[in-house]
Amino acid sequence: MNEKIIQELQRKQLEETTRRHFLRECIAGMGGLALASVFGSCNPYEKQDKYAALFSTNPLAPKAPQFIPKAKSVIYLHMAGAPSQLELFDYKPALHKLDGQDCPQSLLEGKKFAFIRGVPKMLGPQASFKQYGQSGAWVSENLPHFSSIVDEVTFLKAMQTDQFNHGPAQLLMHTGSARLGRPSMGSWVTYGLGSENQNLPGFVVLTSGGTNPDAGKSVWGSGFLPSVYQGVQCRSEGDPVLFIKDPEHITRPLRKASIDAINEVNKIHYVEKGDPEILSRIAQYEMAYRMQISVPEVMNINDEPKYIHEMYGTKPGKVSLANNILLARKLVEKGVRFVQIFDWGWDSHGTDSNLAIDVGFVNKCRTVDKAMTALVLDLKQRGLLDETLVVWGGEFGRTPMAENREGKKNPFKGRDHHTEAFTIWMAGGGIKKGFTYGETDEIGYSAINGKTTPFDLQATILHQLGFDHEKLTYEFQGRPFRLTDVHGKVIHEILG
Amino acid sequence: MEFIGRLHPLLVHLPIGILLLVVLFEWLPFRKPYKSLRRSIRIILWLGFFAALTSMVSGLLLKENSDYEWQSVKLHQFAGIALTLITGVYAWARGQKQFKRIYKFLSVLMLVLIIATGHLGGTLTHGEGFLFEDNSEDVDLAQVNLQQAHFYNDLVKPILDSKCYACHGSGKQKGKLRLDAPEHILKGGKGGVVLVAGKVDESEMINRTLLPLDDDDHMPPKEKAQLTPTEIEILKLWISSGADFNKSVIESNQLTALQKIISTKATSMAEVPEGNTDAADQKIIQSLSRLGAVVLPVADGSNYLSVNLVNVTAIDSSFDLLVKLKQQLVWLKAGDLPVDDSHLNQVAQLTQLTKLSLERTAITDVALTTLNSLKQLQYLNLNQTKVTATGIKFLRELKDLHSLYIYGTEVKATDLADLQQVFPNTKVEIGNYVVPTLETDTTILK
Repeated sequence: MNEKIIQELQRKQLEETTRRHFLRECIAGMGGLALASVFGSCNPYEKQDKYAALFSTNPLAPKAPQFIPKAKSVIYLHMAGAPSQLELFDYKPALHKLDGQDCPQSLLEGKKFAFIRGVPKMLGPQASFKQYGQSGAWVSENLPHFSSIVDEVTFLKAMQTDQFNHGPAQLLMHTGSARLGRPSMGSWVTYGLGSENQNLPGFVVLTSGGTNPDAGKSVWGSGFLPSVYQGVQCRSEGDPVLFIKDPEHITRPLRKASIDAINEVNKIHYVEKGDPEILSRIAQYEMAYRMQISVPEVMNINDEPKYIHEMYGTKPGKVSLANNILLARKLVEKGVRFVQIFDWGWDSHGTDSNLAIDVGFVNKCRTVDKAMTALVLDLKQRGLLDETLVVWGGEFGRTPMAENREGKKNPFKGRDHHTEAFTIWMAGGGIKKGFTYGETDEIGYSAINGKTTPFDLQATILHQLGFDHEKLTYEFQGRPFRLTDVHGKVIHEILG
Repeated sequence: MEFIGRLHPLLVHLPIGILLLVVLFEWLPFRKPYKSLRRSIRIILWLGFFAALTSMVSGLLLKENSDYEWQSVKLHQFAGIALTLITGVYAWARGQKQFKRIYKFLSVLMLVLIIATGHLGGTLTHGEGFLFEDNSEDVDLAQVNLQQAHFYNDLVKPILDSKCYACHGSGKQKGKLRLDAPEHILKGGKGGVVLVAGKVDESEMINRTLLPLDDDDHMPPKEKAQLTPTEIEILKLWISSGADFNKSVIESNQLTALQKIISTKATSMAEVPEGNTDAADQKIIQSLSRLGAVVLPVADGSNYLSVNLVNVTAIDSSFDLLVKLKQQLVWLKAGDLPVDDSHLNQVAQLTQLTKLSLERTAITDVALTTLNSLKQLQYLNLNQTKVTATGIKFLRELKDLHSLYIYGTEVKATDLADLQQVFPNTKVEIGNYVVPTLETDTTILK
């Protein structure tokens, strides 16, 4: 056992000596030898003093944004798998008339779909729609609760993406790149703003629906940012964070003493190696210690009054989207900056009844409708909606054609992945109320005006939090990187 | 020939530079050390004359080959010709001793002509008022009262004015198009009509704006201020509703459609006073932070502060410190803490506050009697405290208060109508929303 640990340690040390490092040491070393004799009289402890200042700066300390913000927190509800805009918000009566007909060639030429091959049939809206509120927004029967709050939200109806597979599209939505390795939106926000409540992480992730999103944990990863900024995944069943309880017979003072001792060793290691990840580790140990007290308290929804549970439709003790949504409200109330919710199971291809647009999809809608409606109303009555931005959507949209998997008809009604049009709604945080931006053509195939992209959405979210998305940057591999890469325009039209 | 004409905007800078040097050399030798400069004036002057002549010729060629309106180009042309002539005369006279007395006069005359010609030329390229007006700002459509607005005069014209007149107005008519009056708009330009009433698709003035930014025909040109999507929507609506120059918004039946485009309602955070204030004492900020308070500037570079007492245990001493930040403190969160009426005396001194959260604290109506001093207050959260409707009315003096949260207090739903009368401009939020449980919420389709 001990031998293994020592081997691991040696390997780690060797890993830290990279080829570049080696070459640099070879060259700089010679000069260093010469300089060492020249400056021999200089204070040998100076180096350590310089690092002492670093340890006192907490990477999660709260920071001011670049300009006066319109929102302080974000709750991002991502329906992983991509819900169908054509059965929720984008009402297309013209599509009814085309139901069952062959899809015209003009819509297929030069296009690529995830599963559709050959000529699919058009599929009319599988839900009935009505207009609601003063704003007259169209909402389908699948969201009977949400239809009562349309005057609180802004719809972006002409969202477009360029990725038609779940993983890359989710990455694009949350990290600004379809490939792995970039920091997620929540990480950028924590990097920019720190954590307002030092006893809680600044960026919390809650998942439901059975599995993590297709893109895996990278959608809340910190990429090249120090890993202290990555999302902290909390569980809504059992201990909110694994191993959060002290082991038996370990008292609080003893735990504190051991964390302090570990951090001392880490500090020595940092002075030797200068790896910023060691600083992250120190900060995380300290945060973990504080979180042991505060997290179980915040993450406990049992103490919420009965009428709140009735409002959200929550059942404590189970993993559910509704429970996570209620938790999100509690976390934001306590000063968490970014709560990212993922719910899996919205991929309505029609390959089985769970993925049928008129069966499984309707059930999924029922798991979110009441809770998300309650969230907006609860934030409103608590005076939090003015500073909390709520975003709801998927990673892409769904085709106005029925899916014919590899050319064959699916057993249930379903739609394929679609990049050219989908709907996202936002509420609070300085976003217009009762407003719709963007429009699709008469069958909902393509956005025709007010087009917006994931980059525009990211730029807008950062803007509301007080950041110019072009100026929130991090130096990596010799150039400054940003969430929106070289894209993105703030959607000023939807700002109040 | 056309090419030489197009070089005009480049060439003009040469005589300007050279001739300004002449003026300088003519006047500097008032002081002894510069006396020898006089000798070089003549040669520079001839150089300047030829540069001016070249510019003049290129300018005349440019006029022949482009769409400038004679009225606007006239003055610039005469000034330019006059400048060239004066420079020629001056250059010749500079060699004749007998005209010695008018050298200085000629130099001043030349200077005046340089400035006049230059300015008139600048106005031609950049548009009327370029120098002093800030044209980059978008039209503030939110200020328009749609109920009374005139569609063309109040909505369409300001948009065209800010984004199109510079090149299609009284000064310049690129593509022979003017957009600054109804008759000009209807007449169209070199490429034909630009507006087909009722038909957005056939109206070139809309189609051009929708072309990709990199397209050569995209309008406004890539480097100029672009129409915002809202502005394009308004123009489209105007055209689709008949492009009438005389009707009001209501007469055009476009009120609802326009309201949708330029809705401004939003739930927004309380504002911060404009400008900046003196920096707060760092020592007080540090003491407060040591007590666990989160003290932050509202934005980088601002001295206004927001304070969140989220993990503070020493309540009394932190309120004492807060008073010392009263000039800077605009947002204060003191909810979920054992704050009671006794602390409100300190809060009452924080007169810059625009946002104050006291939810789930032990305050009562007594506290509300002291808050009238917070004249800037826009947001007040008293949720889940023991305050009553009677207490709330003490706040009637707070004219800027736009959101008042009293969810979970002793205020009854029946008091609401009464309160709304006392606070006509405030959104009084009593909450207690119910999301009914429907049968379908829990049934699962198979």
